[in-house]
Amino acid sequence: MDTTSSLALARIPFWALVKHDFKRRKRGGLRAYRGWWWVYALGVCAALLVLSARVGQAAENLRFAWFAVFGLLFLSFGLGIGCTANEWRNGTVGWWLTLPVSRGRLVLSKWVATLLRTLWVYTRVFLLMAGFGLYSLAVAGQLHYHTLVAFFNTGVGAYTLLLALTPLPAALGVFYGVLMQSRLRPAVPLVWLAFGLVWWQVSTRGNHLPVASHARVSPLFQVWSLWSWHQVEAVLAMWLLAVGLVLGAAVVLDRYLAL
Amino acid sequence: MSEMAVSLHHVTKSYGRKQALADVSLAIPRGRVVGILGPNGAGKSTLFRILTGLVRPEAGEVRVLGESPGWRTNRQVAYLPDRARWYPDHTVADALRWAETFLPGFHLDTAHRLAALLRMDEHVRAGQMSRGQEARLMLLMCLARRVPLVVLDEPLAGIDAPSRARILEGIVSVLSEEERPTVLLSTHELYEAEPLLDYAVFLTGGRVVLAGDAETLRRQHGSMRHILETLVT
Repeated sequence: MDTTSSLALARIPFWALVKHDFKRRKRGGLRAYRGWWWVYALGVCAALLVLSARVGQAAENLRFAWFAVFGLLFLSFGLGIGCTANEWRNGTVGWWLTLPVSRGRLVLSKWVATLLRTLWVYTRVFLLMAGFGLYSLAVAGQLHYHTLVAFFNTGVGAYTLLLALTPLPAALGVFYGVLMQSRLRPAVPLVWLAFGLVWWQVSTRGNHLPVASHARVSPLFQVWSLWSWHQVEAVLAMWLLAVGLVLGAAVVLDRYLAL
Repeated sequence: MSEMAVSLHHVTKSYGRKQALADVSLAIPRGRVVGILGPNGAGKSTLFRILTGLVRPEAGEVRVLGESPGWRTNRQVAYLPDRARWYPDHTVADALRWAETFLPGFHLDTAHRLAALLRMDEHVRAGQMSRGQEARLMLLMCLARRVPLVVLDEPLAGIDAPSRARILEGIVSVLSEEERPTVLLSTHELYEAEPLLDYAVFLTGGRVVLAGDAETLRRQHGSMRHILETLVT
């Protein structure tokens, strides 16, 4: 038997936890559905080809295609839920919650893993969108410096805003995943209500963010310099709220767990 | 160091209106193999969850290895949760690597010896294992740890007879080591597990109705199975 003192000093590296949480795990029938990924991938490729063929007349407006990436915020929320809820779905929650790690670190690891998984998806989508833009502009004969600047500046602007917003839905997903397994589950509608109010505030301010309006005249990749202090403050407030949600999830796990 | 592995004083825990543990007081000495026995809903799993800090009691005091239970004491507790599954993408080899990082006191040599004893195929993923194979893998995760307290919640439930026999072999192998841990074991398979036990705690309706040295209880009341049947009826 190891000595009590050596056991008491044992520490689990935080990044080992994150690495473990980063991997998506789902029990049962995944293999049977794997073929559907190809169906969707082919569908997306076909849609992009059709779109790029029609974009010739409107190459000037191609940059607005970047606004589709804001839908990825919902993906971040879903990844946050999945990252925590899968511990219950997979039957591994007992192992997870009895690791010799504080609840705060367990939940923080889930949040960081969710952010990293989200970034991984964002990167792939960025490359896909960039490829789509270049191909479309080339097909339309519009592959010039000023169209490229407008296109990529809008993309970088959209991604800057997307990255600034992401910590909140990721944290909300983790919090929601934990809340659903707790004795506080009846509070879920209240959480939705509060989130709706925050999102409404963000959306209202988001309309004024310099994603597209100045993209055509800014130097390449420098659109973030157009952010005002008010907008930076709003983003910082959202990050604080995200940290609050992560801490809240730890408290819920510690005190209100329903097992 | 506390002489008791586990002690509870007037511990109460409820889930809504259902009282899972009602004013339970209990002291379990170190180095024993303890059967936590009782019918379904007696409070066995709740007791284990309290000992591993998964849930908190509403009232009473709990000490595990002399400290309040929680994530810190879990460094010294190997726990097999009730109805647990293993990470479906892990092979046995992956699980052993995981355990080396995440489970303090985990000994790879012991794990490999147990894997051979339990006849584990190291290349099969947990998601493709039978329930018996998965149960053996999870037991291995607990028994390969050199810690003072091992808590096994229904390690034999839903497992076929050959796997049950191998699981019991694994437990006996750890118990035969020089520095044996305190083992808390809940099971309904008393016919097979009874020979392992040298201390027993009987729970019904969230209360301790009988506790003591297994030999003494057998002399006074007959076999553990008989005591349990009497309590249920």
